[in-house]
Amino acid sequence: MPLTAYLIVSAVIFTIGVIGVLIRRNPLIIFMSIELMLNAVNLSFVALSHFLDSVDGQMFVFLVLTVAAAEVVVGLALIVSIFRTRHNIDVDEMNVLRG
Amino acid sequence: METALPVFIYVTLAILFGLLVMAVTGFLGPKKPSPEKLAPYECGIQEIAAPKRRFPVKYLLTGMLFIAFDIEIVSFYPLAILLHQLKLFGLLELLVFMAVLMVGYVYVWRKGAFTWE
Amino acid sequence: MFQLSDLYLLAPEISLVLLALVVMVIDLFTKRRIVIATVSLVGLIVPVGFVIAQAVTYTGPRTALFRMLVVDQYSLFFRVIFLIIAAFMVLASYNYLGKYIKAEGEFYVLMLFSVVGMMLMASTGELISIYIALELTSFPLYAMAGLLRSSTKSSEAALKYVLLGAMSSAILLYGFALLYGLTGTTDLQGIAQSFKSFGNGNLMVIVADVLIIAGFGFKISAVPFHMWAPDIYEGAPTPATAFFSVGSKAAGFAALIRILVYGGLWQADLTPLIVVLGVVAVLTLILGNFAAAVQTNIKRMMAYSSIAQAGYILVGVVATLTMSQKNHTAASSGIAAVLFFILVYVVTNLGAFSGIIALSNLTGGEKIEDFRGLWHRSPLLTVCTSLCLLSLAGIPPVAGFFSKVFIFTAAWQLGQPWLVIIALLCSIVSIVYYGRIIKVMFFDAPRKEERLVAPISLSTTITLATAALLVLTVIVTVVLDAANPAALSLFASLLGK
Repeated sequence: MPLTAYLIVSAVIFTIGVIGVLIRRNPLIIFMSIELMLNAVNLSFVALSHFLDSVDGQMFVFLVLTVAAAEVVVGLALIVSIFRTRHNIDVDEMNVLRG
Repeated sequence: METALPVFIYVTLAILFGLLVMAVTGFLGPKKPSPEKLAPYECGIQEIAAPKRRFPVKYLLTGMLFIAFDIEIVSFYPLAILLHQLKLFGLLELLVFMAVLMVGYVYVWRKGAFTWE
Repeated sequence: MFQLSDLYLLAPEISLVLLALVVMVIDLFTKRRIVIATVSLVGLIVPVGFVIAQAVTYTGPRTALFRMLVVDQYSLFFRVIFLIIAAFMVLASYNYLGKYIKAEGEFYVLMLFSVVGMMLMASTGELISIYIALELTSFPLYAMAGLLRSSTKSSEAALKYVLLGAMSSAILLYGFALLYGLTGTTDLQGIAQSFKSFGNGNLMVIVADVLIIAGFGFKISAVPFHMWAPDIYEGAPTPATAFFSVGSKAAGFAALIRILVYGGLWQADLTPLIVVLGVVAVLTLILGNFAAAVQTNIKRMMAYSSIAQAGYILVGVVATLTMSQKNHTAASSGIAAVLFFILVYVVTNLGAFSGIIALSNLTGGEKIEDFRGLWHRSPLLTVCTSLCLLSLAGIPPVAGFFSKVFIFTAAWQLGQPWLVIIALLCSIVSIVYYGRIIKVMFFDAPRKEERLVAPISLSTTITLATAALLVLTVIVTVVLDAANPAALSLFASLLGK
């Protein structure tokens, strides 16, 4: 399969992720969408690393995975702390602060 | 190949029979749905508590800590491949990484995140 | 290969990580805030010492740890800035923490880890480590925004910050992936070498650059990506807000300039990118300044003001990119002006924020009208805060004036006169809203007559910041002498070969 195929799939997944972040209101689903974006990037990295014959891209994927996990942990901790006071985590309901 | 043929026929027949029986019961069986029968874990008696219960928040805390410590192991994978080339430096780096992780572990432990109650 | 001298080059960061770990362990055993703060402050001497030693014995740019770490004048300049931030933060937050936040130890630990990330962002020359450094900077910031656990505002701000921050780093990563695909390496020097052969009109280069700039746009709060800033600045604990406004911004610019200039991206034809960045700079200036003028909450006003300040810095960056292809030496004057601007901005904003922390602690309000007549109630704090605000507005005698002049002259000479004119008009607007606070503090009738006495840690911080600001005003030329080679050292990755 040509490299372009991988890159197109990755671009499509990335776009789905961006759309998800922009239109969904539940923080958990937004997190999933962000995860989708990150994994699209990972797919590009792995594909590029294979076709360029360099391992740098695969190293990048490992680190993206670990960092993304840490990111989700921070996010979940905050969701729990909001849930404790609010019992509701919808982003639209968060209107104490308004730009 | 010839010896496998009877087995293949037997398996196909078994699957077809299973599907046939399910289809026949679907046609012939009486259908009288009631709220008890439609409940997710139907067994004839009325449920005493709602099946959809929230996980305790404590569980989430443990889960989050698990994810954080678990995924760090991925970092060992490239090191394992290169350990022969990196020699002592690689080993020392592994130990430093573990030490920093242990400080975090001790911190979480002393803060009481592992005690359930 | 790895050498022991590599550890010496990384020593400021290593010692700062150790300090953070020590503070973390101490926090387990004592609940006394004074111990934790003292250890953090005294411990900062070690990394500061290492940075000074490296600066004094500096002989030329050096790379270490497989070219991941670059120690040149640029990274030393930023390391100094971030250590200044750390020291100020320990002092400025001390009193606030005792009053509002139960988790004092956590605040210091998070702050120190974040500073490590910032220092690394300025001194890595490799995409993977830039990403790690960026996340090491951001995660503590997310947690710091949510430390005010009883306040719904604070946890909401933190959650918004995590969601937008995570999305921006995903966008940034996509840019990195494209850059890696184009050049086949994640090493910025290697990228700079392979960009020598890129001709005009390579669309993918522009796409990669735009994604990278969008990713950093969140960290520096440039306009289409600024919407998080006012909400998060208002919701977060005030010391954390001060930290976001200087640290996150300075680090974001440090890494962005490192990638654009040290990574040699300017060698490809970047005309579309320069247009995009110019538009972003103009929008940032206009929106930041005009929105700041209509705010009633002082933290929101400072948020928009910091967006506006990012606009001025962007003007310098755009100017540099315009000229880089033709003349490196001339173009580096834009970066030098940016470095000077960032240093002055950091000191000034920390001063202004410590003033705001002190005054709103004492008066119990964050609205601008709560600050009425403070001149009669706490003259020292009022004068110092006013000086910092004047510097932010760019009124002549203070350092902020020089930093704006340098950016504007550099941009004018490098061929961006329109940007300079717009920026000048916007600074006039900024005088209005900074002046309004000063007017309220000096000339309006106070609400109550009784004197306000600021806690010693806060009055020290703000006096120190103001003193530093005045010293900066006097030694402008000295700082520029440091900033010029720092800016030029960024081009060294190409000129040396």
